[in-house]
Amino acid sequence: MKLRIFDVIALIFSLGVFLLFTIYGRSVNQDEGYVIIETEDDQLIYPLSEDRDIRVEGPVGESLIRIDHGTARFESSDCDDDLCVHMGEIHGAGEWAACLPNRVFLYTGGNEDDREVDAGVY
Amino acid sequence: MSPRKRGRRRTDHLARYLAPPFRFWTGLALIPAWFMIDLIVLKFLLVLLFALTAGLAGKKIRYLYFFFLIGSITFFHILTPVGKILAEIGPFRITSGALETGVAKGLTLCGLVFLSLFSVTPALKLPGRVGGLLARMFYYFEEILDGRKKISASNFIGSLDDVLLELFPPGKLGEPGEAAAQEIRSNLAVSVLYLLFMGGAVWGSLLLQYLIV
Amino acid sequence: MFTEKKLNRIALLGAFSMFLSTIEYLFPRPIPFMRLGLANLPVILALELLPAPSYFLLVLMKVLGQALVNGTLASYVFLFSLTGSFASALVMWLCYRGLRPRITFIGISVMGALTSNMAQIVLSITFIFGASAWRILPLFLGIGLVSGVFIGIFAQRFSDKSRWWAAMKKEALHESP
Repeated sequence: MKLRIFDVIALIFSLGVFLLFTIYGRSVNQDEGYVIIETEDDQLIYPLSEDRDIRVEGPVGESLIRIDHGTARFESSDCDDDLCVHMGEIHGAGEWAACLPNRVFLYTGGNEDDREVDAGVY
Repeated sequence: MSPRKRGRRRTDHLARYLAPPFRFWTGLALIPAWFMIDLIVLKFLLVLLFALTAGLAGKKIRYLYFFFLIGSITFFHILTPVGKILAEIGPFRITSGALETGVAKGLTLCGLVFLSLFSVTPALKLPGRVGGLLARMFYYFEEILDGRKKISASNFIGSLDDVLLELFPPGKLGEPGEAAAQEIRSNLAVSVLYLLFMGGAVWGSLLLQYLIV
Repeated sequence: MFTEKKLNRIALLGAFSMFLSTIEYLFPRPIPFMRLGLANLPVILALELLPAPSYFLLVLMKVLGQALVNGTLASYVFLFSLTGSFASALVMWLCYRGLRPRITFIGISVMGALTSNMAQIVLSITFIFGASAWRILPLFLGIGLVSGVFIGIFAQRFSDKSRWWAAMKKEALHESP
């Protein structure tokens, strides 16, 4: 049984597709940002790629955090000063927002920067 | 999912009372509700019911396979953390949201396969020429299964060739015997009970879910 | 379009494929969608025997037959199997018609396995596993490639050696005008 020219081409082509698929697979999800919400008791994490509303409870009341178009922000909070709402949108590595009266802390990061931040903190 | 094995073939207890088309259409009628249920406890209980029914239908369920399926689906979902962080194991953050989505998705798929297992039987006759051709194919399939003992692993091609030559001499191929007509039995009372019970269990669960939430 | 003899041939090859898929269950499977693809053997061989309409009818029969016997007709397994089988059958048919005699069953089988596995990986990531699976599932194309080579070698040997297959081909040749 001998391989003919297009057998060889088919093999090389398949190997190529296999490698491309694998490399493409590695690159997917790499740079997806996320937001971490810290409350008094819990730590929550959400990808910034999906829009959603998150309600968390704190000592003062409820804080509503909105993820929208790859950014996160306090939409409302049951605190007196609303400073957190005025802090606006965050999305990049190391950015943060907080509602101190309600003890809710918000920070964003990307997968790549994650390790650097960790390394710096610990 | 399991192959029919000669000798070890299990009896389809449902076939005694339910006509194949009836089973098929009942199964299809359950599917929409099945997809809309997202309370994990309800899903899990229904999966158990489906597995039990598939067992009654004589299907051997490879539980390990389905554990593995649910496990791998959950694993892949955990890679994208969503929700409350429950634990951190090495680089993985185990989150409540990812865990719930993964398990729910895994249960949905397993349930769908089990549902299909007890709703579809080879005796289900598809209409028209495709149905006729399928019957012919099943007839040949049974013939090959009968001859499979003569196939050896060491001389696979040679022995397979012998069996095929003996069973289907190419020149004479053309008059398949009629596939042994299976006796279709159907019991009206059981059929109604089956429809009410399965329909009630699945659509009822959906109703329950809306009442709870 | 389909004479009785043609229909019998389709039914027989379909049954052959179903039989091979029962044999395949004896092998362990690493993940749900990865198969050796033994059931694909008659579909590869049929390229030599059947004209296009019969060929694609055979593929339909094979998928339907497995779905009925295994009981997966009403589940996602059927959809995956149908898509993968038709995509790979189309690619193999094009390779066979377009590239012979400069291609053997080995190349054809590799292309078929690649197509079928790609279709099933994309479908399973979209509908079941979620985007995170992109990091891992494409690796299984490698396994698919190896089994594709194996099935191709097997098909070529069977086609060269089998007396039954030679007789089937001879008979089909006699009939066609």
